[in-house]
Amino acid sequence: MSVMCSAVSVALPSVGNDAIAGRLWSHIESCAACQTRYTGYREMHDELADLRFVQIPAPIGLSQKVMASLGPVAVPDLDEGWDHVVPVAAAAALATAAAGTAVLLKLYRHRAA
Amino acid sequence: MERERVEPTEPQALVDRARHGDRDAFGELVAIHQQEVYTLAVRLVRDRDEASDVAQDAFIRAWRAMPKFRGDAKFSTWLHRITVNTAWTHRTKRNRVRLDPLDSLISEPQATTLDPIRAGESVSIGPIIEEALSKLSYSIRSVVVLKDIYDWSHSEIAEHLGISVTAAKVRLHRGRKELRLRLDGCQDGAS
Repeated sequence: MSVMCSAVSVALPSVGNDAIAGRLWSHIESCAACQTRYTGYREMHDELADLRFVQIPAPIGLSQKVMASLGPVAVPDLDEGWDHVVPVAAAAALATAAAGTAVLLKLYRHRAA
Repeated sequence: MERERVEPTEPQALVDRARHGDRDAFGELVAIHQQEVYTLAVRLVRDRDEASDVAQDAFIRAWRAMPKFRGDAKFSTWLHRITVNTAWTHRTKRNRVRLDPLDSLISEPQATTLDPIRAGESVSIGPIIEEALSKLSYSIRSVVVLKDIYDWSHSEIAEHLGISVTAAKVRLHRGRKELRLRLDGCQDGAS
């Protein structure tokens, strides 16, 4: 195996769908063994990409098992969640402000007395 | 084997309803996506019983995480990521119990069905390549599956498998080379 054949052999597994660099490509065009290797990798790559569209049938009852495992507690309703958060936060802020004012008034009266 | 498939009428509406806790909508999403989630799980963990558990856990995780799904990616892409993470967790737990002794010994025949859209196209070495894939170790196979079948980027693979980008590239190189050698062996044996 020549140096260029070795270089092609090393490069091919990394190439995937990418283009092959100039010198290596020139060698592949002129070397039957490297052309065979290159074609093998291209075909393998295409076959792997095609597997994306091949599906294995799910076992019968998978979706029923999933639904039975979800449990009775549903995820919280997002909109409802925000509806509750805003008034609660406002009430908490008001209560804090009122308590702070009461403390300040008490301190003021204590000093005035 | 006949394949059942529920065609999505309004997938986005289903996703929105499921995000708000609608179990029926989520059930429809499970029916729509169960085959692709199970297929990915089989390709990652190989063992069909384990793949069924992975698929089931992935859907349960998806249900719990539905309120966090913001729609930045497609729902199926999001499900795939959850499936990969779930498979990784299963594999990690399994390796704590035993050191993967069956991984290189058992070769399970895999009946496959074609997506109707692609049914007319040739799948000459599809089953052969699936079998050759199944003989790779989990760490190598998962990278080849995610990159060459599901077209994930190196950085996505690295993030979801908890490895560096360099490690992902090295594993891909080794995986493709090993796969090519196995396919050459199959073809030599067949001729």
